[in-house]
Amino acid sequence: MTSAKAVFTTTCTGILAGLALLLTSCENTGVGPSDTWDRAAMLEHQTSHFIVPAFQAYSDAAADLELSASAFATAADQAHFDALEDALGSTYIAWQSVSFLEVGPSESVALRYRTNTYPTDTTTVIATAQQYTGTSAPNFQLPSTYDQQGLPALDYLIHGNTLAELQSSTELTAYIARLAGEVATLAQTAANDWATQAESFASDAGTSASAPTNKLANDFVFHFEKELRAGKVGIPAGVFSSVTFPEKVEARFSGDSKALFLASLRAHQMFFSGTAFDSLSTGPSFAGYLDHLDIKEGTEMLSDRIIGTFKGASSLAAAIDTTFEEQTRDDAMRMLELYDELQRGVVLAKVDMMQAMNIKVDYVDADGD
Amino acid sequence: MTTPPKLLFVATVLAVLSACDRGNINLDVPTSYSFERDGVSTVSYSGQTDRLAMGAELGTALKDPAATASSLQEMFANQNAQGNDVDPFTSADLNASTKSIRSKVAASYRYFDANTSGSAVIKADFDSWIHAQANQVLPFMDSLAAPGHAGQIADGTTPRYVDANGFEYDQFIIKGLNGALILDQMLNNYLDTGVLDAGTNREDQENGVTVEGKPYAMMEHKWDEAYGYLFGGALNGESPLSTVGQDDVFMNKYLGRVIGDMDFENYATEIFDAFKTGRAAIVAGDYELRDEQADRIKESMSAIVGIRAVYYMKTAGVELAAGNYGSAFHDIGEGYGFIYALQFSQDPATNQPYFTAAEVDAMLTDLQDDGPNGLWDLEINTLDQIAEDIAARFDFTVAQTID
Repeated sequence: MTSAKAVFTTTCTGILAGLALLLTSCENTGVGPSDTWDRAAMLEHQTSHFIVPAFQAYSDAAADLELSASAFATAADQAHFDALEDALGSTYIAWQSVSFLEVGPSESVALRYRTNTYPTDTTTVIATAQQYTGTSAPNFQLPSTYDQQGLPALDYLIHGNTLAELQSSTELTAYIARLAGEVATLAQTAANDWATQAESFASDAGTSASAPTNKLANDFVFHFEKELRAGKVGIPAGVFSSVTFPEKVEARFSGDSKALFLASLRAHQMFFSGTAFDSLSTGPSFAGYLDHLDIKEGTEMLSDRIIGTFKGASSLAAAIDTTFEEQTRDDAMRMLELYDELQRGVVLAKVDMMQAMNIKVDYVDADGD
Repeated sequence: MTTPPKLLFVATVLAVLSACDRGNINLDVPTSYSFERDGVSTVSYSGQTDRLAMGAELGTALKDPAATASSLQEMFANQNAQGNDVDPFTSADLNASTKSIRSKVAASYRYFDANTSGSAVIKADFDSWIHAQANQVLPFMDSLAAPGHAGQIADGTTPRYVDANGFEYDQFIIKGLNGALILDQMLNNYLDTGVLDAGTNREDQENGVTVEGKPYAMMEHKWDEAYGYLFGGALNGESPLSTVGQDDVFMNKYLGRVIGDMDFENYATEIFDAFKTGRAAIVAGDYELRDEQADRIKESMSAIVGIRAVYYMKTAGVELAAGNYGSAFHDIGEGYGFIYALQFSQDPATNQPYFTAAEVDAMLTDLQDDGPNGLWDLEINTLDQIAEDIAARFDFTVAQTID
């Protein structure tokens, strides 16, 4: 620790260059003597009581979606259409609990990009669907097709067409089944990989940049910032542009944007607080870690402050009584207020929480070109 | 030797008067970039506006699956291989223009007037990148990129198109033009005393002699042409600061990026003020003040290229560490172009680039030779070293570019 301290005293007087150097130099010193938090126990709880069951639930929902889509392709009647709509809605909700867990076994397959890139490219999706021969689908592994597949493409095809329109085209119904099959296959692979690799994932309680805890914390913060705050709220509300983009909300064709946001928010809060996926128990968590370190923000515990922003955002969103698309068109100010509350939480998590846990933020803001 | 008191007094008064002039007492610097003679605007930079627009179309065409080496080359040169006129652009105005990008690449008075061989090497680089984009990238757009295989690779949800080594040639070309076209023309040509003071420019300026059929004197026009390479894409060219960053795909865009960083937030205002003050100084015949402003612009514009080069090396390192190859390759592609552009920078203290062509080549080679598959084998240490080497020549630190 002596050398780290020396670095501190010599660079602390400097400017930001010094701060960066300090952070870099601290990176490999690991946790200090005051940090006796049991990372292994936290990782074990997060893996067995949230990640694995959440992926299983999502995979089950996606399998049901695939079955419903096949059944509808075989018999495109009202009853099968209703079942398909229900299955898509349930899958989209279940997805929210795994969307921020793109680590370990689900890291390399671009799961989130292939499952939920929105807004979807409606022009290409409908053109491809109308010409579908049963084998003519694009190569869904290509990044250029991310916005032509997954739940947003299904949301468009299923909710953006009337039942009569779908009934008149076997190409469309067959392509819906094809897209649903892709979603289900990815989901099943991820769930199976997690089931078999959970133990080895949870056994690495290290503190390096690539250690599971560091990756999980980074993914959590990244998703909180980029997906929950920006994708679902900030981008449609026009925070990053001179105009609003109400049409860029999630699941705009079903109008489920608010429910999906709330599901995602709830999943973030549960994971942060250590609530098990089945809500029946709690265990060691990021919040517990911060409390163990006795990290305060002002007079309050940092963990309480972060949970406070989740609760605040939940109240603000609940008071929005239409879809996010309509809310943005009618009164974007309500969306901006929601964004601001989320932004407060992002700063607390990305700066204060990460520093307290001695975990370096491993992503940069793309400059967008 | 003694000086008669009377003469000394006169000399002192003259010196004071001159100093007063230099203190801007008689200098009328407008709030916007607006200058008139007899009620007619003397500001003109339509040629620069055209080239910025041509560059934007080229940038789009470089990713068009239907593009070929010859179609791209025609757009770059605004003529065909036989030297005949062509209509390569979607804009009729650009097709009607006699201007081209290629003719102004590595074509400055200071660096290339007596260095046509150096200019030819630069032009050949761009030609080869265009060729590579057409033949080694575009045909493989529907494949997945892998070490040794060209194709597309994800940068977040955006597909990037790379060759077998991970090179994004369209980025090399567009970012490289920030140096070979924009900086070279602006700093090493139009803001150079050799160009500003060429021929009878000073006499003409002082006597109000305008270019035949034009409202402007030649020196004014040269200065405006420098201005046009930074602000020529702005909807409101007289007051362009409110849209900085949105007005072209070249240095205006990156000026906008740089001022988003608190460490450099005054760059746009300072550069705009230097352009206005220098232009007013020309009207007032104060060439020393003019050249001071030119030096400020040279220093700041050069620094922007350095800042962006370092920024991309560092962000690429973060992405590489996270295993995000597509994002890293895109950062490196942009950074490669900015490093290339450094050889067209100009340090006003020496009138030389901050990095020579040979030094630039060495850095670009380092990016490619960590292993057999180019960027797929690139080590983060290599990126860090290049970032440190670049920042060491400027007044900013590596950390300042990324916080």
